[in-house]
Amino acid sequence: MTRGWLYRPSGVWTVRILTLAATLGIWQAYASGLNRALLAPPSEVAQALWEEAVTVGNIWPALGGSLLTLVSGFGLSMLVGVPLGIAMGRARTLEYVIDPYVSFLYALPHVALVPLMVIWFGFNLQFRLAYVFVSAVFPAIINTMVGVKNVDQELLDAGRAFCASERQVLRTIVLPSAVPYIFAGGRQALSSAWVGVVVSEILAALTGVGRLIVTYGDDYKTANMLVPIVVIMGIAVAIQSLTAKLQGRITRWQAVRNV
Amino acid sequence: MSALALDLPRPRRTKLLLSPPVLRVLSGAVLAIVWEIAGRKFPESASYPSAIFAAAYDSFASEVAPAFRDTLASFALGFGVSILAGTLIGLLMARSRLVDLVLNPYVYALYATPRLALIPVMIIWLGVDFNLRVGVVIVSGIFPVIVNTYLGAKEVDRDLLDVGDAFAATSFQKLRSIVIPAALPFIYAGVRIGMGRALIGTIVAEIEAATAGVGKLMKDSANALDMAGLLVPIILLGLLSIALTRIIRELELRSVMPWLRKRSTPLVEQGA
Repeated sequence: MTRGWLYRPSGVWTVRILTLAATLGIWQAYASGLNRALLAPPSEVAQALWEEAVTVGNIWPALGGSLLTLVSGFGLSMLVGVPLGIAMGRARTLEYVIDPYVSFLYALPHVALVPLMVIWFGFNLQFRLAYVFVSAVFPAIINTMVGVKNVDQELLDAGRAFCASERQVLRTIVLPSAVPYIFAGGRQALSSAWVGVVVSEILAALTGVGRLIVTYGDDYKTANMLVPIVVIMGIAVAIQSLTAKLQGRITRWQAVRNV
Repeated sequence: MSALALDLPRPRRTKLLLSPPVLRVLSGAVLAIVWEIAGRKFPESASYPSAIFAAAYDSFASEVAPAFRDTLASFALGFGVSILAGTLIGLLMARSRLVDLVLNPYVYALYATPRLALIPVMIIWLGVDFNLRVGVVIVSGIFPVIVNTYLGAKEVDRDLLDVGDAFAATSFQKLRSIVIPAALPFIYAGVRIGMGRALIGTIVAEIEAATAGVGKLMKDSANALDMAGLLVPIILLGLLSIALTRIIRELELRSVMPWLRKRSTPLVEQGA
């Protein structure tokens, strides 16, 4: 099969731009016939974006709050998840005892815990942090554990043959070979943490970008409502692609295929 | 203690005590007892196992079972659509360069987005009832299926396709006997991930719009500060999710070519 014009950059960009133009055109034409409460046309969304970002600037404090929750919740889950994963990967007994609960909580749709957590933590930062923690900690634990268990047995035997202490084994054998897994877990954890931030804000918070969507939605201001949605999407895409780049740089030998 | 000591054979009693099933049962029992004692002291904060069992026994037929029936109905319809449409779109994207170029950026953007951010918009479009729940399930479940099918169908061995060409196979024949079997493990991975997300989607839609189903049941219990009643659906949901994962895994083992099994099962992934 010869590779036609669709494989050349010019062709690729022609198709992309045409698609975008067609999408926006159809959206504009379709939305102008509709009630504003149902769907705002792209021109009004752009205007709302300008308003939110520049003239009024509603989005910045909300975004700042959300990002703060993201960073602290993610940091907390890595601080707990990675050591716990290492411990579970190294100590059989601990794994047998904890593993069923980790699996159960990981399989459980986390949203199911929202009503319970609201009762425990209220509607404050604590609740959001706890929810982000629950969303992000399990990918960190599970990937770390898998990485630690996948360490080359021959290296471990060599360490043992030289009477390495557990600490030496951990530092020089286990951690270096588990790094790609821990990093992969961290990527997933960061993505899940962002989802956690948005969900907790939509369901039970008084601040943040998630809340902004709900507020505008309740007022049927669909143009303004799409602004935080676009921002949330942008951050999600940025997290995915930036961490993929970083992963490629840190662990070059491990090709990143998936996204 | 040197690492060598770990290799010495343990006395039989210790070995039995440290075997996985015994350890699990023992630790489970300890946890249940501690929870029971602590829960009875502070019943308003976390209830306790015997109260949860009692609540499950009392309300199962009257509230819990109908709620799960509502939830599963919208989940089954929405997730069925996600699997069918998702596989189809994924295959189209992998086999047609034009479709790939057109859809790729949007699919990946939506795949990465917390889809729950879309729920407020969807409430405006679809109302708060069955339609909303099915819509949210589709939006949550379809993208993992599309993305994994697409990646799997792209990974197909070039040589096999060349053999197909050499024997003048039609596009449909190549799709049916080469592309789909090779992509099947990926499709299953997508279905597994999509299942988790779709289940989350159903529950969130129900908590948000609260007209029916498990989410509404949970919200009602929470509003009444009925901790035991709240924990019953939470525990059942966890078990349901584990059971569905097992079923998908079982189907996968039955339908995937033996030499493709287990290869490239991606690390577990879940998100809302």
